[in-house]
Amino acid sequence: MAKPRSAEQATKQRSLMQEAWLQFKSNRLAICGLIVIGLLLLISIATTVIDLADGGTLYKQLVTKQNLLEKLDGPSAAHILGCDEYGRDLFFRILWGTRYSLFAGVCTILAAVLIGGLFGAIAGYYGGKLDNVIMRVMDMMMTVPSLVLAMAIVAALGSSLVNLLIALATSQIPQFARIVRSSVMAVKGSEYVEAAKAVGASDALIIAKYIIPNALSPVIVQGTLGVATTILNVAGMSFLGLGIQPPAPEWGSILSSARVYMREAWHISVFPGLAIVICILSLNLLGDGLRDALDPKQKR
Amino acid sequence: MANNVLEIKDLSIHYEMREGVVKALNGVDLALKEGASHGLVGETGAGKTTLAKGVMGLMPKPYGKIKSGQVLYDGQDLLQLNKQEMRRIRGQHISMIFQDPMTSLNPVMTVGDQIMESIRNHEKLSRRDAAKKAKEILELVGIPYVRAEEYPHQFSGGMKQRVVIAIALACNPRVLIADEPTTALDVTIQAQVLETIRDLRQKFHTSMLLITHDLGVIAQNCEYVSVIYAGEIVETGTVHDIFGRKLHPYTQGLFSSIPNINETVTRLIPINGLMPDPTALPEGCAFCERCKYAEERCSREHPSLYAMGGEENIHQVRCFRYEQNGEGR
Repeated sequence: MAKPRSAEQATKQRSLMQEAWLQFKSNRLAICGLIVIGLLLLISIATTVIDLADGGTLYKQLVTKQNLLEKLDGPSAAHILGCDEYGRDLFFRILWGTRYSLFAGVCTILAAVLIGGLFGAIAGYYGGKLDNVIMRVMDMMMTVPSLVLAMAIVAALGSSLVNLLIALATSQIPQFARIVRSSVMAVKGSEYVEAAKAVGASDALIIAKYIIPNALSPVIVQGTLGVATTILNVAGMSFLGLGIQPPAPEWGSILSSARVYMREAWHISVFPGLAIVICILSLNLLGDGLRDALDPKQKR
Repeated sequence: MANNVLEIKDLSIHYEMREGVVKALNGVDLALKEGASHGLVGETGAGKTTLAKGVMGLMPKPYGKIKSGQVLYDGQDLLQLNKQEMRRIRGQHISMIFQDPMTSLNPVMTVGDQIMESIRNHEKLSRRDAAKKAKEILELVGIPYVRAEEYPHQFSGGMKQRVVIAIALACNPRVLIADEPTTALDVTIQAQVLETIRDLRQKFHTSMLLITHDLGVIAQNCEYVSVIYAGEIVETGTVHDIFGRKLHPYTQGLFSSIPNINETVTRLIPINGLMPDPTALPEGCAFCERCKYAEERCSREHPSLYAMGGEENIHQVRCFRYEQNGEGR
């Protein structure tokens, strides 16, 4: 008796988020993406916790300790992914490198969403001259290729992790401003906003409960995909020597230094490359799944 | 007789677009009596919705401009109020139901929350009390209160319109403006929704301005009718005045283009032609190009409303044919 009733309630009282989750669950590739990203997040949290707990002793021992006797050694039982040009264990370096990529990706996108979103929302909600001014500035930022803009900013500020994040976030801002602006404009003109005004809702209430929740889903989707782009950009910047500096085990910079030894030691380039590929692929799958789940037009 | 709770005097609203000025509303007078139901009929583009939005102060920005007139609520001109004061009027004193229930609810809020917000806009109630009241109102419009936790997409069209009604009536407004509340619904549901509105109006003693293009809806729900054409009232009176005497050629045309159950008619007579372009209204009578009685004078001079007596002595027609019988104004 109890079971069918609860099942009925479950179908009756489904919120939009639950509905989206049901849709998401049916997409197997997206679930794979979610699991891999979950795993990578777990790794980055675990390595950070370990470092904080033992003051970096393990980090020094596993990740930065050089052993020139084993340099360029291929995969073996002792070092499953082999060693790099200074004899450092590649497996642990890639493991510890996860957090740079994820941290950079997530922080950058968060900053870009907040700043770009704010500008976009102001432009979309108030319209008129303000809209024009903000969006033309964004257009100007968009004319410069994002990597070139980021390189220029890092070159001006000096290369460090924080500057790199600032640079990458700046280059992503216009994109989010545009998305937020267009979805705010769409929601602002909708009949339910007018209906809310007709029963005396205040501007603040309309923004908080009508505009933001309804304008959010394209931002979430674009954000997920943006994290992937940023990770790629971080790797690219590190590859060019403008990003995270050695000996920190960032994937892009490992790849960059491995380039020279491509012929003698293929594994140093292949494994960090694979790590980047897996990470980006999972994020893209996750983003695609989210887009399908959050877009009401794709509901089956 | 009862007092006028809402009085619209000489209201003109123009949309100033790049392509020209759209004269949506030109000097409309309309009086809504306390507790009464007043129907506003007219074809698409006649200015019905513009009138409703003008009263609510929800003109589309930035091109909707109020050119002249007053909207008196209890003797207070709503057009003179600032944003804050107008916000207090909306919902609490004058509320509005929109045409399409599919789009007039927020898709990401439960219906209970939406009714609750409408109450909390005007009444200082705790969340729990407001939620309780929202559930009561939901029951009043015929929806089981357990469904307050659900989202709009889980409701059918008729149910959504009931929710919209619940939101509009949550604060017991004195005036309800219903802008084609049943146009988007099928006929059986229309009857149910109108019945719900009727019951609630009796309960709360709400006056209603019912905007529609369906004369049948007017006959069943209203005591007074105004016929609007090209942004002007062309005929106004009690339901019996209009349905019984139908003086204006446009009103006659409206009636002869719908089937009558008592007559055997093989062919309905439509009104030929289209409404004049609102960016270039004719100098004379707006209806003269489609009117079979049109004379040379009609295209030159603009007729005013002539009083025709009628049941409550409020029947008025805007047509030269009644100049002699009636008294000019």
